[in-house]
Amino acid sequence: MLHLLDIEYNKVKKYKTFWIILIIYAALIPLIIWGISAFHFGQEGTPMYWKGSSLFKFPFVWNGVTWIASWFNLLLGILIVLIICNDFNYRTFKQNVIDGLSKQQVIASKFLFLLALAVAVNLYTFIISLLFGLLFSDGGSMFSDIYYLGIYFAQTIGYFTLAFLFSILLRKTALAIILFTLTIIINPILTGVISLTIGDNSIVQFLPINVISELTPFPLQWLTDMMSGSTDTEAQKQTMKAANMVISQPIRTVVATIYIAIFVFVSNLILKKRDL
Amino acid sequence: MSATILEINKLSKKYKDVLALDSLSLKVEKGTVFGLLGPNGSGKTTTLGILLGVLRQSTGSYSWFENGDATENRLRIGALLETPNFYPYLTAVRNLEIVAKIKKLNNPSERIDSVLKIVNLYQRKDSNFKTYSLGMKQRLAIAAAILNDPEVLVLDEPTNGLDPQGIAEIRELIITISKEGKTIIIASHILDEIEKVCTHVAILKFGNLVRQGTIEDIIGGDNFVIIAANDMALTKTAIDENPQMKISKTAETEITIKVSKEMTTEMINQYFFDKGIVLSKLKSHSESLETQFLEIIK
Repeated sequence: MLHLLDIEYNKVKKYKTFWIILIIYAALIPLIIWGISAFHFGQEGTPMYWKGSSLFKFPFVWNGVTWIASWFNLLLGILIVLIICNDFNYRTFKQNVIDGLSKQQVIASKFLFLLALAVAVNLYTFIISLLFGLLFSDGGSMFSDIYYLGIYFAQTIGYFTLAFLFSILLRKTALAIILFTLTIIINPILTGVISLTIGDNSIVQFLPINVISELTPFPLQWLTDMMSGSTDTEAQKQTMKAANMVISQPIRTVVATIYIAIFVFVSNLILKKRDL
Repeated sequence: MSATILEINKLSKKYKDVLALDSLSLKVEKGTVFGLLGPNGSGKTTTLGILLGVLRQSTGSYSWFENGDATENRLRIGALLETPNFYPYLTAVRNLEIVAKIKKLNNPSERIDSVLKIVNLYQRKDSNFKTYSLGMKQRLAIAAAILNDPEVLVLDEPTNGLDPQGIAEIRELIITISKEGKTIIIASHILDEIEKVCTHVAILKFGNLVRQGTIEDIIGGDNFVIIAANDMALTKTAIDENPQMKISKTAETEITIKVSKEMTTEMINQYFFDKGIVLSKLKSHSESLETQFLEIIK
């Protein structure tokens, strides 16, 4: 397994585009957090007063940072498309097989690399959350909402495997990037149209992109806390969380995992049936 | 005793409505230089693609080293298929490092330097692949194929894009490697190339095997000689009278004749002289495989 990861790492080690996209991703997140934290609303001392930095207090920070980081999953998805389609464009998948890997190993190595990237991205998000949390908090329950990080991991894997599927399906960088981006852009429109047509908005919540993107929900609880200027009781918090989404977080995570399994399964099926 | 390196059994490949390969059976023994010949689209690359794991056969089977189609077999093979495939943004050395990792070679840097010297790319070893000319790309592909000092070398049109000097160098390299007792399989439509290096050939046409044997078998122990004389009619009669000669091709001013191997040009000259014919031209024809080849695939 390490052998395959080592091969993949050598493919990107000197690939400038890969590192530039990663650096853009890594720089944007703290910049945006910084921007939001500097923002404030209303007059200090009044109930309507809130400041952006409170989004990054423990334990909200886990929700806040993963929510912001999730905006840039599109960027990372494109990165995945790029490194997979490159091997098709350069015919190097083929060459890797000629040189002595099996077709399954070639795909497994890409999948392992995708997992490793997701781990790295989550580690980075953890560090950023921790740093901003420490910067804006005065103690409190630091890790009580840390489960958002685990959910965020599922989300990155969700986007990555979708990008993986599209790349395997289309094999052309530009086409796969367009399909991946369009899927994400068209999703809200599709959601709206379907809910209006059938007069119900619960079923659309199960559309793959909705399931995956809502894994890191808008930090609504934080917003209402700030607006009301009060600290809610635990019961109110639970109501708030429930109102935040139609599907409960555990069920959503399970559904997302099923989608991930489908993406991987279909990718594998396509590769098995097709010549490289 | 010679061991079987490769055995192909009724291999077929069908693309939608084209039968690219039709029930091909072959055997390649250890130490031979095996030429796979055929015109464009005859199924040479399809065959190699299947043997190297990138294409799936429709029916039939093959076995490397009497070990079936296992992936590990390919670690003992060095291969160049169709085009040189490398990462354009990486240097020659870094590209070969990836190949070395796939081939599970330990400490490959010395070997990488030495193969780059063999193919004359050492001076450019730190240039990115995308800056290479077609010939240089082809050389790098050959370097990659011999990187692991393979037991079997599979080369698909190895001299593609090379200049005359490059072609001669690759030919020398193939001969050197075959002298080490390695087995080499070459697909080509350049007959001269095959005739100069191969010990065995198989000729494909529209996915069918039309001939297979040693080079001598295919050429049939015959030589070809081009002759001309003032009285062409009389010359033809003289040829017909001699059972050791056969007209292969008649042109306006010259005749190509097939003669048995024992007949030297001196003997041919003497024969016509005895018949009262003075030859104005007598040239042994070097491209005898080509003549046979064109005959076979007709």
